[in-house]
Amino acid sequence: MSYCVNCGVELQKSEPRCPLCGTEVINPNELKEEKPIRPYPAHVEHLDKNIDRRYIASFVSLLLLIPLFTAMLANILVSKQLTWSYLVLGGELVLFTVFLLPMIARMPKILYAVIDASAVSVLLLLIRVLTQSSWRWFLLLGLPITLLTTVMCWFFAMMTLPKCKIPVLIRFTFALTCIGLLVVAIDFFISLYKNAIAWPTWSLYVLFPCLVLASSLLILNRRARVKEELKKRFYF
Amino acid sequence: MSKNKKPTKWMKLDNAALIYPATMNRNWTALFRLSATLTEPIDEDILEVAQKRTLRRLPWFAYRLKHGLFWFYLEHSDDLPKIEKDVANPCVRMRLNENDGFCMRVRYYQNRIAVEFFHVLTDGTGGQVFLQTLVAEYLRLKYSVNIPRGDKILDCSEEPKPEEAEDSFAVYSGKITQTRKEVKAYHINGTDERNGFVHIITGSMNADDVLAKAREKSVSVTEYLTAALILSVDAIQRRKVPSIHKYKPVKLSVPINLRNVFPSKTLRNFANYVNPGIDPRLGEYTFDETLNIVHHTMAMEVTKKLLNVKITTNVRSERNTVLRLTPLFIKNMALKYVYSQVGDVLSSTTISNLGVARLPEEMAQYVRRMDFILGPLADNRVCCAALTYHNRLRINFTRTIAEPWLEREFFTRLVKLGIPVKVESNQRE
Ligand SMILES: [Zn+2]
Repeated sequence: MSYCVNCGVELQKSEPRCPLCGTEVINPNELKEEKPIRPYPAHVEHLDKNIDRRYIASFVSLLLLIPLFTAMLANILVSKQLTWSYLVLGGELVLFTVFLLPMIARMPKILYAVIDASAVSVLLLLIRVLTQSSWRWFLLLGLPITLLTTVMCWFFAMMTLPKCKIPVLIRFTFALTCIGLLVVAIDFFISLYKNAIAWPTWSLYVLFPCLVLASSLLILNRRARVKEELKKRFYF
Repeated sequence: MSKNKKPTKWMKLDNAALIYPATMNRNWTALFRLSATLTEPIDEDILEVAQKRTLRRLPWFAYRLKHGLFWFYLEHSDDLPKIEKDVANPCVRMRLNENDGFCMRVRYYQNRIAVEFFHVLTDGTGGQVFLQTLVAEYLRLKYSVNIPRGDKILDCSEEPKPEEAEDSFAVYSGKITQTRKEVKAYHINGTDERNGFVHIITGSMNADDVLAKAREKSVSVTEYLTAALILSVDAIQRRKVPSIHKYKPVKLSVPINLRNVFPSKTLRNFANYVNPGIDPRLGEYTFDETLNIVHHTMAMEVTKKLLNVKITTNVRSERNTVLRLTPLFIKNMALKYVYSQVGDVLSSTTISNLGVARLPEEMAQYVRRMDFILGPLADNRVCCAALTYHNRLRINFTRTIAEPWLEREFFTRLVKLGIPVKVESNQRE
């Protein structure tokens, strides 16, 4: 039994000094005893991290304004009106929504996809307006491909969630099939743009390997032991 | 499990819980913690199974906090919270995105099982039922002891009972409301602890000693401790504030378990507060005077009628149509403001006494010790919580400033009153 000479309270053996006043505990009779277990572990859970990421992202977003204003200023000085600097605006918008926004704001994941797709579409629209090219290019190539890619990215994102209950191999099957089909769709839109609705050609070279690989994964999935082994080795 | 008896998939927050998600921020969550120290080191695997079985009986604790358009709500999850290793600073803020969205966490260290609860789920009484059921399941799995179950230690083979998830505030609210203007209280300030370290100092004493002292003055143990704590805060204010004209009232927030007043079986929040205190500008108070004030304030305020009025006032403001139709993010700002005016600022600190934990003999032989710790409060830098078990009354102080002024003042005061105190802490070596 040790008492703090300053406070008059008894001190638990694990206390190196009085927690109330800081006086060291020296009990000449209990020097030899081994160190008792402390009531709490030594590891401290710190606050921080997340705040910094959000802070830095907001800061970088502000920094993005500098090249934007510089470009606009140069643009106005040279051509007396805003022309090509709209492209800088569109580019930065895409940069911001894809990389910085997720760090700054928390919202349902589907909203990110929608916002990113809209930002890319705005950029494409700006390109169309500035290059004075025809609407066909935007409507038949830019927009559909953007939308399809977004939808696919969304599916992929859903599948990588820890909540996703689909077996890993099935997820890869699904992903490969999606990639194959996307390439076919791109092929289709290109031929549509060229005014000739034709049978898909070069995209088939992508589609078939994808499908073959996908179906072999599907078969593998049924072989429990092989699956277990692969899961172990390719654990991520 | 039959289909129709499955727990409701989502539920509204109870009336007292509404304020907690609104006031939480990146570094602060309203938490409290209950722990039981056993005789042998904890087996994590068994604890995990025990948790699973306990959550099946008490699904109200496996709910995640979600944003609605107008209110937060709780959504049931079939997943299980991860069992965590304990840390040096208990009750450090709970990040819901890191915690899988769960509003509680089970942590273990050496012989101790601790559960930290976010206040949206429950209050101390509900938390204690959860902890005791969890520990009973753990002991049953580990030592195959047969522990008699009742309403404090639930039988995990039974179905969940809907009345345990009732919002009793709504049930027991009446017709008459009343708003009272309270003045702000003195706050202890000190050096901020960087990185959010939470200091815990535990003072334990013989419960019979304290009870005898309280009986001597014909008051309850809670009243006795409250009076001693009021005078401790008062002493600090007199030391730190130079002028008598600048003294502020010293008031303590004392939670009242409403289940003792109303016949509720809920395991969610069902508590209210009484703020007994003194006005130091009027002169120095003796211990007996303070005891008298505390005793009579409690007698006056802890009555069915007055508590009913308080509950009704709170429930009515929740039902205000304008407030209900306000989008959540605006409502949050409003609630934050309201809390900054009528929350913590009205009291100097909190003392929450959960009373005596009684376990059946079959279980008590495996449980050495039980603790109750409040998480740091929003504005007050020190607060304390008490729980008696095995004739040891343990008072845990939680502090987010560097200086242990209040603890020293309080424990030395008890020693002077003739109650021997033994202290331990989570101080770093
Ligand atoms: Zn001392």
